[in-house]
Amino acid sequence: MSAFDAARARADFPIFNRRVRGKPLVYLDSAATTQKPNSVIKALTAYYERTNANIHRGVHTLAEEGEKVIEESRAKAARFVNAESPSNMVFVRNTTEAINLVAHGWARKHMRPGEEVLVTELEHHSNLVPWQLLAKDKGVRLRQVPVDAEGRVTAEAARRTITPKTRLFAFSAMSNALGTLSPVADLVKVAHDSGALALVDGAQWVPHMKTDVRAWGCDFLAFSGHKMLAPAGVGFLYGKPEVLEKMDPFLGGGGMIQEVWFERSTWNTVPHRFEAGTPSLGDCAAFGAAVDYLEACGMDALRAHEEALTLKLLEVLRGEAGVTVYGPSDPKERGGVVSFNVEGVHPHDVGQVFDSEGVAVRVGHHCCQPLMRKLQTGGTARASLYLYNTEEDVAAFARGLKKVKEFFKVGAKA
Amino acid sequence: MAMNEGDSELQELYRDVLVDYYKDDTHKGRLDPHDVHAHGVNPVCGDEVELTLRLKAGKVSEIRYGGHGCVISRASVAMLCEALEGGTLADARRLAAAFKTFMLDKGPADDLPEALGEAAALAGVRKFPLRVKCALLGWNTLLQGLEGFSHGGHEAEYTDTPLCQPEAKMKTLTFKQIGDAVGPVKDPEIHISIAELGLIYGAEIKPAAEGEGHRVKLTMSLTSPACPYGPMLLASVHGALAKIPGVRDVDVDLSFSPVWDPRAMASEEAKDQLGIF
Repeated sequence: MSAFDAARARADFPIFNRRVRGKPLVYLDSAATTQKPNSVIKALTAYYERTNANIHRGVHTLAEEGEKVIEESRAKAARFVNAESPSNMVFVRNTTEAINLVAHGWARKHMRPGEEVLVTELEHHSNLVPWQLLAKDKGVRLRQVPVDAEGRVTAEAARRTITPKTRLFAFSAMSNALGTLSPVADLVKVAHDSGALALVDGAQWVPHMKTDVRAWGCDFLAFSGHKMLAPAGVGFLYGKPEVLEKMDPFLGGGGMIQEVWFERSTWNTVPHRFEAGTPSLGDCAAFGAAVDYLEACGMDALRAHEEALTLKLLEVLRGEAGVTVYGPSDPKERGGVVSFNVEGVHPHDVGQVFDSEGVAVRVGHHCCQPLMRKLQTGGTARASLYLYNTEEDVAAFARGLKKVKEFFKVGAKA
Repeated sequence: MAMNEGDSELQELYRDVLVDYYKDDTHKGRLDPHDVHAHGVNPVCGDEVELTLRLKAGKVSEIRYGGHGCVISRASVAMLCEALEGGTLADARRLAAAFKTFMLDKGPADDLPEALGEAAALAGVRKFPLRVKCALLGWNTLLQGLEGFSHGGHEAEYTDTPLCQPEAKMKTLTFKQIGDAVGPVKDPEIHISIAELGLIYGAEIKPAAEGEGHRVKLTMSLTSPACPYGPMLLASVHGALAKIPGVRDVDVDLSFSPVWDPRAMASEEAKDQLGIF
């Protein structure tokens, strides 16, 4: 049995000791950010209690120890996504910063007016707005691959939309709003066949499923630590070695230079070239503890656990009249994210009733306004899962949903 | 279903009257042509409100609302429409100011104008800071529309700012708050409150020179121009004023005109303590 023991994992997360509105916390908002296990919190405080020093700048013992633990985090990140080497991993604050780094360091340097960036209709604002800014500034065109009725991006649709002018295809591996999983390797191939680079937004995928950048063949992968048990303030941009080498710096300052004269500078080697200024030291150090925790769980066991719970969530929702579920009907095609609406009830009000049951769900447009417009809704309520969620959480969710319908008399005539 | 802690708050938040307003269609829609049009969004949740008003002889003859939002924001804007119809634009501004005071400063429901009596049902929302924005969206949009109209514009756009702090900071400051703050400050020599002694000559409230908040100017005197404790006393008064929420700048001015006269200025109690009969 490779069954994952979520109830046991839960004990590692101190936040579950608290109560919300008099009830045990049921946290179904991990797609927004995940809770942190003791080991990560300890690693963060341990850095500041025992090690704290600025890195790449000193020769004293603390600086040496600090550099070691932070470079270990980088190496663990590389191993976690199967990168060629730790030097392919650039420390950033989060996925948004990683994508902006590509927009500034790669696209601004290599793209010409009239050339195209291709995205999909599923994208989070963080994989849309940086390209809008670029388009405005450089005269680059922004185009999108449409999704099908279940919110899927297919390789055929991408192949129909991409053109020889497309230089970059930037798409999310898993939709934060609908949970849709993309056929990542196929989409990368569509990009490469057309002579474009492929950027994968892995914010939702990397924390939940095995990630292999070399199997995918992508040129970039962006992801955040805070969605995978690590503290907020640390994330990564993976780049293929030859692609990173040809990129300009994004931010200038300390740490990213080789030599500085008054009027000019030469750049440090990759990845340090893209890491100007002192990073979020403790967060970078604690990132390694998050990877250790996930590896101990096993990513395949974790995925199986989430898939089983997702199926249960879908069953609860499908059993209720007046409830619309968005995204793919087959749980194999989605991660642990379920978006829904209750007929006649605004998502905000849905979320408020869930909160009264101690159940945290996200409501609103999920930073995906264009997608919401396509679905003809202002927003949805969204339940998202992680390794600490249990069948009891799904039962609490079901109670919350019943209460929403009772409270707002859904189905009853006014 | 058994009641619990979360349930009673929920009942208080979603009073039946709010759900009734939410479902009521009387003022839903859009007027074309119209005299005032205002569109507002809350970028955080994506809620939208569109207000159209028709005016006749200086009064709001008709008003409609559109857009989409939660029970709280829809009920609040439905009440807005009901309250505005038949009144002048000056009435509309007064109602908006009264409603904002009720929501942000948690004023008593009795202070609400009669036309807004039903808004008392929104009192439960004040316990949920994130939802106060929902209740205010329609009203802030209205104010933006009226502001534009007063400058000759017929179309206005309102965009909410994230979180409640900017509004909360601009809370009204009252003279009572100033009195309560400096009341406990005592004259270091005779150990009687400076307020009882009559040493406070006056106070002014103005907007701060920079940023959000208020500037308070307090004029006071000393028991004698040569009082050796003067600087210490002024510092205490300054400190007490600066601690009032929303106060950004403090001026304490000394005045010896008129010269302090306990017989005329001090309270009866202070006179007793001073041995003045």
